[in-house]
Amino acid sequence: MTNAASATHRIGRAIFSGIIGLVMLLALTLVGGDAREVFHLPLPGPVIGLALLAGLVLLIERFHAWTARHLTLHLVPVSRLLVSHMGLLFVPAGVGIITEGEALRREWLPIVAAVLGSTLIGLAATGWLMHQFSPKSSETGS
Amino acid sequence: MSLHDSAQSLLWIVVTVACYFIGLGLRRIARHNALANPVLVAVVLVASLLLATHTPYAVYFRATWLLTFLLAPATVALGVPLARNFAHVRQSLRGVLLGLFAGSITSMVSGVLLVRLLGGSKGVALSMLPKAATTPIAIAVASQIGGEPALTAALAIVGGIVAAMTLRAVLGGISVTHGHAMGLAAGTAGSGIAGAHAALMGDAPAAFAAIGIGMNGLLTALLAPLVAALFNF
Repeated sequence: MTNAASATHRIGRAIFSGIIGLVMLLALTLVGGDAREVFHLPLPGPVIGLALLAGLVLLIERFHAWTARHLTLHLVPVSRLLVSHMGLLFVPAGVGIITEGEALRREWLPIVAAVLGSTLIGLAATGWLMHQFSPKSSETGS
Repeated sequence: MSLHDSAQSLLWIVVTVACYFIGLGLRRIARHNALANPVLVAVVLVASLLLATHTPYAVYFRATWLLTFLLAPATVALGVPLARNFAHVRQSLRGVLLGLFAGSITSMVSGVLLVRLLGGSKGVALSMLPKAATTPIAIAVASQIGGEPALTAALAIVGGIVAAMTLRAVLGGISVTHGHAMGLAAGTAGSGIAGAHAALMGDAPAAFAAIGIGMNGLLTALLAPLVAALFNF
């Protein structure tokens, strides 16, 4: 009985924490969108929100470590959930490929070859240069 | 929104999530082989269902707005691992910047070159150019330089899936196995989808993926018009 009660309590706290975290993320999305409009930034609102969130957490951490810890406590679980299943959120847009049937039929070879080729080249170029110019002391795995 | 609309909306959201879960299940059965990509599986299954039920894509896309909407806070959420691993990023700043520039420029240039060399049209080449950037930037840049935004969106997502599927093989092939480099490469060349895949490796790769997504978005927005001009478009 007490076990069940404490489990319910834990789940309740996790949900509460998740909601607080999600509200913070949504607030930063909105602020990011506004910042984009006001300063005419060439970045979408969510990417500005990403930078603001990281900057904010780092700033608060410098002045008040306790607050930063508690903020991240609410942010970490919901952030992990959203990031690790971000792929799901791209599915509706990805299905849009079915509306591009005509272009694909007409130019399937250049399209397929260029998506594959340029993605592989981009991956290799980024990874290789990052690897060449990284301090070797941090090469201890992730 | 009528009752019928919200029921339909719920139906397509449930279908999409179910297809994604089937994809996750297949990945588990395939022992996390990168070729069993849950996003690819879900896209193929949902697309087949739409075609089988003669449902227009526009109806499906409107019904699943909630999933697309959550992309915004999910992108912001990448700021959390970034903040927690900022020291790592600062430590390898030179590698990060060089990798970003190289990846961003080679993605754009090789995309355009491959389309043109294989006889593709100018419209397709310009739609290909910004596809490595995060989808909203890719779409905006495509319409700015004269590409087809809808095609760019599809290419950005397919490119992300390709990057997620080949990340380990490509980087392993050139003996780059460090999580930081993998995260940066995934975010730069494959934005959100590949970045989320790299995030499965841990918090630090997620942080570098976040840098890759954000900075390549910025670089693409700034450099794409120059690259397009370079090819005389």
